[in-house]
Amino acid sequence: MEANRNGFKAKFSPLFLTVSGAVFIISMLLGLSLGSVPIPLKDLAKALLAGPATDDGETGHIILWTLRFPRVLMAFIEGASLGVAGAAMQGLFRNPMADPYVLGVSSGASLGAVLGIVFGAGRVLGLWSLPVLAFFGAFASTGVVYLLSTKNGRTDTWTLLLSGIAVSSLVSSLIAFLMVFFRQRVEEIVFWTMGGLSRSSWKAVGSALPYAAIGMGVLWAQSKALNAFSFGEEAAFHMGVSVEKVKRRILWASSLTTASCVAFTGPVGFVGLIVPHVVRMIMGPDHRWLIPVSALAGGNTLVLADLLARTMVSPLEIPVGVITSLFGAPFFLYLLVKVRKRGI
Amino acid sequence: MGKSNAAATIWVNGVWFAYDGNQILHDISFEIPRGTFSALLGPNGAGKSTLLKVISGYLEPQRGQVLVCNQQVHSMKDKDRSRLITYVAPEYRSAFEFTVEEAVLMGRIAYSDSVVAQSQRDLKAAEHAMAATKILHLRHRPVTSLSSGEQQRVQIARAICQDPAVLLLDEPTAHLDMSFEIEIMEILTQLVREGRTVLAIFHDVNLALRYASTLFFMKQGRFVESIRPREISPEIIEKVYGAKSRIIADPHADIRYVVPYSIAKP
Repeated sequence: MEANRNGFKAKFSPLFLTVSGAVFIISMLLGLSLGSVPIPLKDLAKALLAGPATDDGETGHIILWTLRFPRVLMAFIEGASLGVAGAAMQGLFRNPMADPYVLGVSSGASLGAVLGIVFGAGRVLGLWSLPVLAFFGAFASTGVVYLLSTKNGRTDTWTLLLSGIAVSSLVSSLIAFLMVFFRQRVEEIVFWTMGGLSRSSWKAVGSALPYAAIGMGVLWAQSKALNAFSFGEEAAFHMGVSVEKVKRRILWASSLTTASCVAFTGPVGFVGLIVPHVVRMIMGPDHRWLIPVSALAGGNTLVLADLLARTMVSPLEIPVGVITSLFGAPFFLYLLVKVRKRGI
Repeated sequence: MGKSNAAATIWVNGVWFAYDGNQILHDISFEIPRGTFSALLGPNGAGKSTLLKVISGYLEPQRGQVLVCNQQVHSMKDKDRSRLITYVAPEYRSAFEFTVEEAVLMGRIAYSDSVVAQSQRDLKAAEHAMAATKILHLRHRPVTSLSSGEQQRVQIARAICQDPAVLLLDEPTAHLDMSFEIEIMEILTQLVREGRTVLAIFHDVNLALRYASTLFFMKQGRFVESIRPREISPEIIEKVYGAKSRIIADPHADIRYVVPYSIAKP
């Protein structure tokens, strides 16, 4: 039907679903099969079918089920979260340069983790100390940014952006300050803040997934409001959007989504900036599918980036955040130049 | 204080509005009957746009009341309010490349609770709105590529798609050339014929004289006068705009025009 050409169904055509499904399966298989100990596809199938419980003593089996599978899943969840949160932030700020970290989530998480590292919180809280502290750090920083920009129940979007930048840089300097005083911990701090998936485990996947999923779901539910925001918040108000309520939901859901993953892996850059940007170029700006497609594309991107991180100089591992910036930044510049040449 | 008139769609009573300590609206009261086309006129800075935004529910007055179809706009739920009344700004800029059809369909946000779905009724409403504003041929074009006249029609289509009883428009003909201007005025006239109430700000008194049934004049945040088009006089123009003028009649139609010729000496 003509009127439905831009509708939701048309965008999710069978061809599109097939292609994206295939890309998803291929990147998952690659992520599972390749690594410092490659598992051939044939063994991979066997190990997957055997299930996690069986202990047949094969190294491939153990690597797959205890290390690689949770890691690939964690990469997918984090990539999806960053893609979705990035799309929502770009929509909220009406700016394709926004990313999931504009509200200070990554610096807040880093400060939480750094405090845990330097004060040895591990002795009290055990293995969970860093993720828990990072999670609260991320939320604390969003909370500060939110309070700074909210007056009489109205959150000013520009103040939000500016106080996000200010709080981020303040927190970064606090981290630098701590590094000066706790020199013996610098390596640990640097390693955490570079972002990597080597700490992934089934428990990490299990704890991040529900929060990430709830956050992504809430953000997706704001799709029509985010579309209306493209014409400005006042225009959205006149279309019947409950502007302040929607802004608050986007703010907290996006922080929840991002923090739930960053707490385990440290900040991973560029995925949340580039993925929604590219998806928008291909699919158009309608958040009803920009958000789910960014989830899929973000997940695939981070699975493949982590694959590179693990295999490029194997057995050494490069933090995945370094890979995403290494490839993401030039790609982003390429897009900028190309778009400028088209005169848009 | 008067009682709300049942026939009035818009009922404004004793409205005061200040922004950042500046008093912008002083004790504004008036009412507008259902199914009429009214024009809000006055010099720059008279508070016309502020008044329109107060009526739309976007700005809350410090004192006074606004009833639209006997309901308090400022305490209604956002969705309920926007099915009753909507507002079209003089200019829109979209941050992202939505198509015309997508932009028009945004008028249906108030009618749906679904995250993704667009009902057949929504699609039909958009189709009707695009036809009424003659933008069907633009439906797949990105709004960011349109001229300001086309963008204005897209926003009016979005407003029609919302199916409100009352439409408020702030200078709907700003930046438009003559043919677009007439086209917009005819679209608005058609909306009034369908039984909707239109209140619009105009820069051009003559455009209002030709199309509107009532003219409201404001100056320095105060209500000056409301007249029928045939009651226009040089005195009113001088009082409101501070300009000397002649009133001439169109020999072919029952329409009067204002021809200003000099600034009145104080």
